[in-house]
Amino acid sequence: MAKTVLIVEDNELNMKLFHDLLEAHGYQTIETRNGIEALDLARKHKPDLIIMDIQLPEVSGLEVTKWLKEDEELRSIPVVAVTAFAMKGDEERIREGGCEAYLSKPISVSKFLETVRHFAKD
Amino acid sequence: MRRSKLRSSSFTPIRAYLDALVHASARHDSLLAARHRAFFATRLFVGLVALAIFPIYLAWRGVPTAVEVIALCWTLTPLLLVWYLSKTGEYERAHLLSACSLALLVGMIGAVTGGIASFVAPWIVVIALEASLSASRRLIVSTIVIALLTAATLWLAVPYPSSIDSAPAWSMIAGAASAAIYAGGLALANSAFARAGQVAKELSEARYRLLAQNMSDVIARHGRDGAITFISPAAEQLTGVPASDLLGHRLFDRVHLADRPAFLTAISDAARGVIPASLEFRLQREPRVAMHRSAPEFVWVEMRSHAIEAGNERREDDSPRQVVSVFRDVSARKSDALAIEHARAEAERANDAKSKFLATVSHELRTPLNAIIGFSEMLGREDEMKLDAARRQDYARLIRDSGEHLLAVVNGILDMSRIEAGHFEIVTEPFAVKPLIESCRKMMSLRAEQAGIQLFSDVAVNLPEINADPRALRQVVINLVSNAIKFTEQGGKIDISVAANLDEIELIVSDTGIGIPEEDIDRLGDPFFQGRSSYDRTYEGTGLGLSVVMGLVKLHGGSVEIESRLRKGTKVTVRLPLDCQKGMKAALNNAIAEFPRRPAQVDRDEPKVRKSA
Repeated sequence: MAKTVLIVEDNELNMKLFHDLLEAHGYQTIETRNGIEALDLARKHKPDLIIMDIQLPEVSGLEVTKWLKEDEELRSIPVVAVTAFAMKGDEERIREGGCEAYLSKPISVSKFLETVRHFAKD
Repeated sequence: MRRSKLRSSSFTPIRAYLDALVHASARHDSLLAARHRAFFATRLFVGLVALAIFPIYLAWRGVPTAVEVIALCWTLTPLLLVWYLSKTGEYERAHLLSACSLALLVGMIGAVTGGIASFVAPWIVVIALEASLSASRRLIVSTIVIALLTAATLWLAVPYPSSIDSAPAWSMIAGAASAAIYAGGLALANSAFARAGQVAKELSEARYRLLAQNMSDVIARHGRDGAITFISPAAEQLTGVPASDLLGHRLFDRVHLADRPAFLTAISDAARGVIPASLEFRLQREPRVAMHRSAPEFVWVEMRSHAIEAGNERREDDSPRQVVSVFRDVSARKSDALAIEHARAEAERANDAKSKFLATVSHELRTPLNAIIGFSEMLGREDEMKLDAARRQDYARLIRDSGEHLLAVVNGILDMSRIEAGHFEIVTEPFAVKPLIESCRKMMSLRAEQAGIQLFSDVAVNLPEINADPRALRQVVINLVSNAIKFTEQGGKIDISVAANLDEIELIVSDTGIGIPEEDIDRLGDPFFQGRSSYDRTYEGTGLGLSVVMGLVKLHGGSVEIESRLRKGTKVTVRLPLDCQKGMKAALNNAIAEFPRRPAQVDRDEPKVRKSA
């Protein structure tokens, strides 16, 4: 059965990029540009992995990650932060926020796929 | 003192000789030195007179008796006393020795010349009188005892009535007269000392007054309950009220409420003698020009207090001591420190804002770059990604779009930083506004048409020429219209209107678009900020367009005002002075001073849904 990846990303082009990449490699995707919706979707679909943008319109991806990790049921889902925050200290800050992995934009396609494979346990 | 010196100028050699005799320990005190000199002068005089009288007496009386020889020799003791005082500086002891020697002499002569009825009896009084020169109570008491003992000895040794005839009248007169003359001399010397003391006191008071009047530091003395019992006249300079109005607790009443506990603690610490307490506090000062209802004016005062032993008062060990405080106005130092602190905070804030701006720029560049690199990498893995021709075309278009967005971001950033750093060169020239607006409208009409939006312009016919930078004005119009197109739905309408209003022109771009939520209005113009609704669209706008507009308008000395209603539309009003040359220099300086603050300040007095720059 195909693994499911929840993509939380507010930028439409980047959403399309991640979607197309994952789809071409046999993943099922659920998409949202909204952090609060992401929590509901995670509960509903129990994805194998969450790709999380950090700068989101209403609540930040870090906040959403915190909620996920506080939730008994959702805690085990790995969260991979993919963000354009790539200044010094950003990676530490984001990892401390509970994200299992950190990828900075612009991504390397192979690194991205490798990380997804690793955490989705293909 | 100076007068007496002039008067005694003929005695200068004697005076110099006497001065040289004064012991080093007495030289620093003019009054004590004078007492020493008086002691020397009298003893030398008596000694020399005795030496002079000696041969005359011998010639007159023939061979003297043993008592006469001893007495005559004894009259030389004053010379020994001069030597003693000059060597040791022991003034009181010298006086005591002198009194003893005089008492012995008087006793000896008296004993053989009729006891208490002797012609030397009046000299007994001189023994005590002479001690008055010393101004020492102990010595005076001692000499009185010596004098009484001498008198008693004479009275006991030779009974008064039996010897009354042995004293010839002439010797009685001589004894009384010499004693009276000597006593008179003593009285004169005493009054001279008193005068010298008065002069010295006046001099020291004058010196103190000079100090107190010219010193800006204030000296105060606090009583046991902390009340001020003395405060120096400089207090008036410090507080603006006469020093007498600060006595008691009236200085405390002027201490800033917040500083009062610390003030009391400092005084009580000092009173207990714990430490010389030091405190900085605020003291209310009377304004130089009385203004009713104005906020009280405070000066920063540094206070140093320490306990003193109060004069002759006896003190129990646990009772609080009196306290002397020195107050100093440190307002200037304080305000310097505050200014430095303010500048430091400002620099820190500027630095933070700069770092934040840089982080935002990095974020905004990486976002389109992610799409460019990601899609091009996918194109490179054509087979792996199983791309058909349509997909490939799609990706190529997305890469191009992202690239163009990236370019727009880069250009926007450059414009912004040039404006904010004050390097955006505004070249003003007089030009007509109408043709410029028309050309902008034509330029934007294609995009408006594609979006299904109608674009109108209305420029007042009698509009005067404006002195501004046409390039900047064109960018302002294009950015505003471009924003309006982005945020207006199909079938909407955009109006550009320009009209003159006194010495400025009013450019209004209004649309029937989605509007801006109230909570976002304040942040409009922050670089990269976009209203929330813009997230529904893809890559439209960099969030820099309005920042650039605000920056450019500000450089022209104009203002921007935004009014918006959600789902009804937005109206942006730009006001530019007819002659922008004037407002430019000041605006440029402001832009430099405010970098990297947000490019436009919100006028907080405006209603919430409006924004001015």
